Amino acid sequence: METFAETIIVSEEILIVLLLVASVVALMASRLRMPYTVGLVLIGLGLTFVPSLHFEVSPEIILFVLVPPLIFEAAFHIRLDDLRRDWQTILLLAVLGVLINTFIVAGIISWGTGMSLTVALVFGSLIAATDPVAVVALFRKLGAPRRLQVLLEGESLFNDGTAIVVFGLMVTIALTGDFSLAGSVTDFIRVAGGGIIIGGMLGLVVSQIIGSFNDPMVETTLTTVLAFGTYVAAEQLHVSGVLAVVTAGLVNGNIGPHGMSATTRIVVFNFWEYAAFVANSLVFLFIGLTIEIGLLIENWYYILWAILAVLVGRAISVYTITSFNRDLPWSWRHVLYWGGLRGAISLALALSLPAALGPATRQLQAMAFGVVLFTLLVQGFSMERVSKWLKLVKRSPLQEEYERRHARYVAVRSSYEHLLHMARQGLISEHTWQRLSPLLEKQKNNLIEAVSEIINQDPEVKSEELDTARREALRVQRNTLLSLLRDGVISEEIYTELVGEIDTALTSPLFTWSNLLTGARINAPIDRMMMVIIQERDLPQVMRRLMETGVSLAQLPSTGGFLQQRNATVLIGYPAEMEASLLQALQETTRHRVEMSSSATRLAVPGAASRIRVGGAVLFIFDVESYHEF
Amino acid sequence: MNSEITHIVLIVVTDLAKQEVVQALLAADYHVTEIGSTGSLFTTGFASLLIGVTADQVEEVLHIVRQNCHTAFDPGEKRAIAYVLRANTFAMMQPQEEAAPS
Repeated sequence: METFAETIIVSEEILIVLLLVASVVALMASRLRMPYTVGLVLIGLGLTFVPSLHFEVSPEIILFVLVPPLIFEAAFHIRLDDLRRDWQTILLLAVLGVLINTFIVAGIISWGTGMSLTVALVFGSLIAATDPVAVVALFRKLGAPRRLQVLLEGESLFNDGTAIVVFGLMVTIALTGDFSLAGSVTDFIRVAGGGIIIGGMLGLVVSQIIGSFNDPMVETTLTTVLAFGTYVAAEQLHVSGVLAVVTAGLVNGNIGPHGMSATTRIVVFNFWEYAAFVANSLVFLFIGLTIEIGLLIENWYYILWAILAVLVGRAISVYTITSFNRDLPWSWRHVLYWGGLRGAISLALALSLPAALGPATRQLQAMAFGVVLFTLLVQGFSMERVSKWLKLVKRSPLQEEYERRHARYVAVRSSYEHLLHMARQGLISEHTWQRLSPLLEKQKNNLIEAVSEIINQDPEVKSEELDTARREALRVQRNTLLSLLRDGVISEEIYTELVGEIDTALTSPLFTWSNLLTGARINAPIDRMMMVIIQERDLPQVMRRLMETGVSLAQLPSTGGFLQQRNATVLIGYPAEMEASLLQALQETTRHRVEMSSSATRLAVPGAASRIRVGGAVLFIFDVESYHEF
Repeated sequence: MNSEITHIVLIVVTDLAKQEVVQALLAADYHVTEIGSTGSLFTTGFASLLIGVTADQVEEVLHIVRQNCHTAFDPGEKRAIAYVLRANTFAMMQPQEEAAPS
């Protein structure tokens, strides 16, 4: 009979082994250039072959310990601003989509396999939650449009919440056999609404507390308390813990950071990234430990039907819901469909099924695993090819050429340096070196020119490179400061102060550094200032374009607030002769034409039509008596 | 005094330096108008300041700003920029005595 202490130790040992496995998987996955979750699910599959590790993980652990960090981290790093654009589609997909999926999947499975409808509904709801982590990571790597990433991430976050609430309802119905439509709907609203309210309140409170002082360790701890505490509190009050965590995460992730110093932000975001990594890994590994391969083989028929049902269900829900959004290109809809991978949340829900459901529990878990396996392996792996086929990613030939030239240059340079080293060591004679080095130098210089030619042609490449270089430089500075602290050269206070400056710089926008460097190109004195008001959406490309010209740039605070369209005001200092080309640049980069109905403009211009076409820029030009930089 | 103000100095300064600069300017008896800050999640705030000055005060204001925008982590990095603009008209409206309702 194990004592409590022994249980803890055994659990700890298991945990350590699992984390070790997770690390190995992560390393291999990056070596083999495959998404991490795919590697995890494969190892999970491998674990099913190991019969002696039959492992019971209580549903409570899954729900109370592993799910909150996953959900919180996802909610925490979503920008509400990003959601603004397609929020209707996202919400529809998350709520209506989950319902559609649940019923269609349940219907197909029940019809095809004869499984009871109530049990099938339980499965339908748990499998409705998507987990496109692998796809989003791929998109980031390929440089796919940000809006699409936001759609996938937003949908996934909110449908996790909805799916879990529906799942709870379905399990209750399956266990108690009670069903009333009115009752279920009111239950849903009560549970969901209550969860959101609690999460929102707690999120606000913690954000306020966090904003009132500066201590990264404590602030991170507070977010941890928020994530888990919200879940527990909501569940105690019999409302949705998950939706509470989602709301708390959204609130804290969007409002909280204003009250955090840059250093704290970095600490908090890194912590949650790690927490989510651990939770994700553990879920995948647990399911591998819980299920035996025999179970999977036994239920192959159900698994196949499940896969079919899931594919059909998602097709119906995605294509019908996105048909309401005329703005969405067809290729994106396909990507949304095929990118609806299932993952940790579905597995976690499956693992949390109460044993009271009987043999169906194991069956549903096997089906869940089978579906997740399929979506990750088939959809996950093929996603890269699908996105390229749909021409989702515009990799300019310029960027490829840049890579080519840059690689050649680096290769030649390292061979030059290696030969130099050999010459110094006396491994090759001075004579040989004298003959080789001018050849190599010439090649190097040609390539340097070739690379700068490309960089000057494509502003994107240039600004990205500058940004990367800048960040690396700052990181090195940070490390140096750390060693100075360690060696006792500077005091803790000075260290914190200087590190704070560096962290602010690390998280500051691109244009400070680039602007500085390109500013050197203007020789004529700055005697005009342009104040330009543009749509916030045009800001990135306008800034990029203007930076190229080397003018002095400064951005003024924008109007608009939460969920409103914003303007950005930019001050441009330039010599008069550049005016024409500046105006041209602005003309070309502020193409954004948007139809918007804004209460703000109605207030400003009483009687204005509620649909206005807005775009381009408004500008004022001043003569500048003198211009100074410090 | 008001009628002599002919120039506006528009200063854009990083959040980190803003406090010092504003304090110093206030201490030197200048009226400073602060236009918010662009600071939000992950962006360095840049605060904008407007000061109405006479022609001879321009140099002093620039000097004060130069002295007080210390916070820089990089000798080459810009910490503030200032535009000196000529204003056509500068007026400070005083509230008028309430005339008897007509």
